[in-house]
Amino acid sequence: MRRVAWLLAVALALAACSSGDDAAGGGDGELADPGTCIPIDMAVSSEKIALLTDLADEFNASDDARLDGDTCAFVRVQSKASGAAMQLLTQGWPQSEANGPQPVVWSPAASSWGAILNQRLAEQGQEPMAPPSEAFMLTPLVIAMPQPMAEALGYPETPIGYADILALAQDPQGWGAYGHPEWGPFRLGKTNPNFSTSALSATIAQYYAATAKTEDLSLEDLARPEVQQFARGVESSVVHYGDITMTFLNNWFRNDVRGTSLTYVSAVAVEEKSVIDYNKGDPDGVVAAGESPRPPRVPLVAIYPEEGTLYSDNPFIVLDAPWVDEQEREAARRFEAFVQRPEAQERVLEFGFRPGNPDVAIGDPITALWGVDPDQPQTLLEVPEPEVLTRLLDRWDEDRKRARVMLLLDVSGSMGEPGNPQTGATKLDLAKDAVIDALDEFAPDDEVGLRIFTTNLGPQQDQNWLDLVPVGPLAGQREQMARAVGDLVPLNATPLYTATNEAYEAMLADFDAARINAVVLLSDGKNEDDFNNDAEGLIRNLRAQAEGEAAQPVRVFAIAYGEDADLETLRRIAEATNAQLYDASDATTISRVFTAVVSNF
Amino acid sequence: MIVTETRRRAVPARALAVLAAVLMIGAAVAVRQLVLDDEDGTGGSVDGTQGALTVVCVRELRDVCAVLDADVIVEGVDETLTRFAGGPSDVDAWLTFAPLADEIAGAEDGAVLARTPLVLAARSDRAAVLRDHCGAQPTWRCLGTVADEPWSDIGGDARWGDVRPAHAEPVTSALGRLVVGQAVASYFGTDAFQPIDWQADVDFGGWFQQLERAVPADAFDSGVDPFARWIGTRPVGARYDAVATTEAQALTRLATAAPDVRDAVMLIYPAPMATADVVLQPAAEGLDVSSLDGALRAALRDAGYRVDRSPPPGAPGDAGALGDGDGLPAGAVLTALTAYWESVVR
Repeated sequence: MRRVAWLLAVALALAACSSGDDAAGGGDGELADPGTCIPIDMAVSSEKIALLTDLADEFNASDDARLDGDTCAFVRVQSKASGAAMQLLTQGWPQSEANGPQPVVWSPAASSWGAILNQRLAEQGQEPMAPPSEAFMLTPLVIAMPQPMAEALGYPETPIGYADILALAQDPQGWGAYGHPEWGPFRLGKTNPNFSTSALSATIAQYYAATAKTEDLSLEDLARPEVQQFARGVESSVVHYGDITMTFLNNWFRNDVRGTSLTYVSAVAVEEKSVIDYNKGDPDGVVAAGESPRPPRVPLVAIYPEEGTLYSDNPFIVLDAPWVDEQEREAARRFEAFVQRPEAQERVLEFGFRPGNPDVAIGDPITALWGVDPDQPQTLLEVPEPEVLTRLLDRWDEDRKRARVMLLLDVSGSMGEPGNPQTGATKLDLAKDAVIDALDEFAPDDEVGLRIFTTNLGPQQDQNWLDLVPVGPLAGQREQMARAVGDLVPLNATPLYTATNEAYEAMLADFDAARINAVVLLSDGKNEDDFNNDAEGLIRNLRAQAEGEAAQPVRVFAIAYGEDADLETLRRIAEATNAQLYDASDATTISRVFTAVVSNF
Repeated sequence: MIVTETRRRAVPARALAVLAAVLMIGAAVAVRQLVLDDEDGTGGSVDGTQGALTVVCVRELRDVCAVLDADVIVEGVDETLTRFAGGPSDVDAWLTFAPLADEIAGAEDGAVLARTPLVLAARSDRAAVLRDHCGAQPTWRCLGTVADEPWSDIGGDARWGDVRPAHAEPVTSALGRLVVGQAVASYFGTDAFQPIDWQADVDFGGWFQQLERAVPADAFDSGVDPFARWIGTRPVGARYDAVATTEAQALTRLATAAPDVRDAVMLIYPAPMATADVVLQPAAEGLDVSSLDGALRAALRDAGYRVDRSPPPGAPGDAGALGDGDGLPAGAVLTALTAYWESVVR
């Protein structure tokens, strides 16, 4: 039941979340005023927002934007995660105040999202909205791997594929089988295919590899036990999921600084462009003002799976939507022609994408210098039929690695402060709703527990935390957990460090290698514990246990909740465990932020 | 000039319309003839005035039609056939390829304005292996026998995967229709084959399925040019191994392409040669649209078509001379073949 239903809400929620990669949200920034021109709204995946915003500005100022009859077109670009935009389109793109204007043009990261959209619409008895469209830039899905690890597998002479990865993932010797026991087990970084294009492509490729096919993946294939076994084998090596590949790349880069990149993850399914960005010292693809990129100590190389791969082909889809009229369609076509021009396509190359216009030569940065190969891939996998794609997502939900998660909630007195002045809801009220909703996002056999923390808990009022529901299979305790959450009230002070450390230690003590082990920490304040004010000690402990080939990875995904949260400390806690900080400084965003956090499982 | 273009629609919904269109063409032309019988017969638009002509163009000739001093409608073959089948039409001519013009019964044949061979654009390394296996001028018949088989079986690199030819779908695409006709003519060794031939040949179905099911599905997206997709995906050859197009399109596009693209592509002229012969077909008897011929010939020459039989600049040395005929079956056979293709692929 769960994922299919909740993904609708998740995708809608993520539509307004901001982050990197393809799962970045939209609605960020004010839309420009088109004046008397016809606004041509465009929803694009975030990795190309900067590029397309620049190109739109150039177009709007050019004669190409002038239409017949003394009018003009004005292209406005908004960032929208591909999966989120797909979900919004299935619903007619509601709530334009929150989600941005209904787009005339949609450019997801890959055409497969258009196929899924049309399939979802067909299931609702509606006409397709995404006609076949042309790519204007491309980047292939690759397996990014630290160069020494790739070389241990025979790179670049020996072709490497998903079958090799499965064999390595299931080998009890791990990297020891290749003479490197110091690297520990093989660990795969892979995002959630319901959100991330690279994960969707990787999952398609994985199922193809399981069937030894390169085309015509069928519903029957997905149902075969050996295919399921193969998929579960690959998924078993996943360290955690999540909505964006930048989480992995940023963590990888941080580990590289400390010299521990080889024991964080062994490989991550990403777009080729991300390998280039990483090797340039820009793992998230965004160079902030004043930032000086520094190449990593251990570079990544792009492995093009020998079974074939898929392109993120960035289609320019002029939507067949009821809100799009002919004049808008014509104006959109003008802009499409504009971005296909060689001058624009040279910019595409600068951003690390392969130009769609064959008149523009492939050159730097698509070179071996940056760990990629312009002569690869040699063959592509066929995008499955839409009904197979949607079934594949359902199938993945059944095959994905299961989770073992402790929800660690701050119930300090400040949680009783207003969270939404318009409704009068407190921060705790909003958090309770978010947690209860998120319970539906776990599988019944995920293990989930609930621990609260504040000072003066327990019969002697000497405890800093209480386990309201111990970590166990959700199926048997979902209602109990929902009730417990519903009964929460704001109490005392915030023993952030002690609660975090002891939750971490508890999860470590019962570590389950077959699951993703994690703590989801939600806190709205700074540490207020007179007996433990040692942030550095906490970080040292977390980091010491997270590093090394024998480490048992327990991730602490931290949510900085409300304006007074200790964002910096929470960030350090998350990063020390190779997890991620989520920013819910605006308390009203907690529901969608919490949902994004749970996408890691 | 007014140019309008119909929007892309999905192919499957068109299949019945195509068949219906074929059946209705005769009746439609007859009705149209009744209308024209009342006119002076001196040519011009269907209402008898000497205003701008209205010309329907197949999509592959969109750019050529842009030069016309006429009202231009660009649309798929299926839509044009439906247009002519639906009763008196408000268009004066159809710029198309010769066999397709057969479908407008009752009108005098339009003159051939220019020609271009049907070719396979292939990645050079794959083309070399294909030539070793199928001969210097590979046939579609041979290609059909290796389609969907591993390249390593015929001497290629295992990393290339399976042999994946591509062409446009034949329902809306005029070029796709010609290519399917050329391929089947290669199988039978003659362009004079009839539907009864593929119904009677026990091996044909298997061969045709092997060929067509090896074509990656995205090549059959309606309204999309697989050659443009192929050449726009680097490295060239990743998407398909070889894609059917015309000599004119291939040479024109490659002329401006970047070196990494140009150097990676080899043109194969499958034997026997077939050509896309461009005609401006009057919509009914008595219509004179020859005033457009001069402009069209010039535009076709600029677009790489052979107006005087000689190969255009950039053509390979083995481009070959044009035969007298186009090497393709009649329009009605192509229409029937399109319906058969639908049954195989969909």
